[in-house]
Amino acid sequence: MYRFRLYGASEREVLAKRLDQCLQNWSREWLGGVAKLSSSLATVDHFQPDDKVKWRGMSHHGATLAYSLSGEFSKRLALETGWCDSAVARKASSIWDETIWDCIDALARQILCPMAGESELSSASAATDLNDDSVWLMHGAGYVWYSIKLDQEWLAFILSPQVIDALLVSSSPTKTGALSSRLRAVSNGICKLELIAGVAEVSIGELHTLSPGHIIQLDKVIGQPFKLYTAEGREVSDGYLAACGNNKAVQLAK
Amino acid sequence: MSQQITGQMPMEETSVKPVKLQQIGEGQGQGQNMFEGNLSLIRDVKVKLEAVVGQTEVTVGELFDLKNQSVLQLNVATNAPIDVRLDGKVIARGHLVVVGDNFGVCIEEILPVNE
Repeated sequence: MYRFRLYGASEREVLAKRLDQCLQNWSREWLGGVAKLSSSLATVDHFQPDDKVKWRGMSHHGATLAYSLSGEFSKRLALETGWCDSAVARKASSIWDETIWDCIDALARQILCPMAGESELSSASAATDLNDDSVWLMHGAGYVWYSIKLDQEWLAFILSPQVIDALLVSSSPTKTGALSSRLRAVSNGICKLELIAGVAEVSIGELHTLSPGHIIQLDKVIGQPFKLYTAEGREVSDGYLAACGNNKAVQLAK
Repeated sequence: MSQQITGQMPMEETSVKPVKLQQIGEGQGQGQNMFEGNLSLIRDVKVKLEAVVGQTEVTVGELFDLKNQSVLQLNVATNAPIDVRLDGKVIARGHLVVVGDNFGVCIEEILPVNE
């Protein structure tokens, strides 16, 4: 269920401020390593030149910030709604790998319009404000497409009603906001874990004579839990070996 | 004269000079390898083997949601052997056994070492 809602000028003003705050926070936190953004977000000095559009995703208030990094269009950012996950973004980038604008446009046409029961974005029940610096396109389904011009670049946002509510309500980021948003942003990252039954120290001489039938005694005593490590070697937890269906499994103990 | 730190005074004056090292260039050496294949030189060197039961992949979100007694399914069947790993490389496979009070691995297969 999507609400029909248009936003008043005062709400738009608040939204614009919130978006600017969020974008600056995100930019500093996430793009700081690869790009230097001024406080006005007017410039992005450096990205790795690459002909292909690269997508990254991160979350805040249930929305995903997707930004494309490419040599030619390195300054363009887009905030997409939460239901556009990274897989969709990747698919979109493979189809429209020229510009993030194309992606936004396609996403808007493919996703926003059907939600509002419209075939064309321009004919959807929406109100549009246009001036030299910003474009507001408030979709009848409660989604907002907001574009702002910064320097010679445009930043485009597609905001879900939930995001808008969150932006309107939250007047200032909480102390843990930056951390939690950072955690949310990496929440889809894959972490490889491995269960180690134990270790054994053997001499190279023993190793040289190792053959089928030999028994290597591990350091782990019966009853002790095994260790669960990340692939990078960091200990995550203790765990007991078990079976889960047809596979081995580990039940965490600490 | 340099000061002696031994308790005994020298019978006669001793000259003390700094050691001068001869400058030589870097080189690969010549002739045959001196220690090639001589396992006896290193047979007592200890190495650490790891017994790896299996792996799994979780998202960071799932990782943070794990609780005490959470169960993670591994990517290996219950009857699959476990890997014996040396320095990150699997060198053998075997089954988990009990050796006295400890766990152990009964080797079933030695894997060829890839260069």
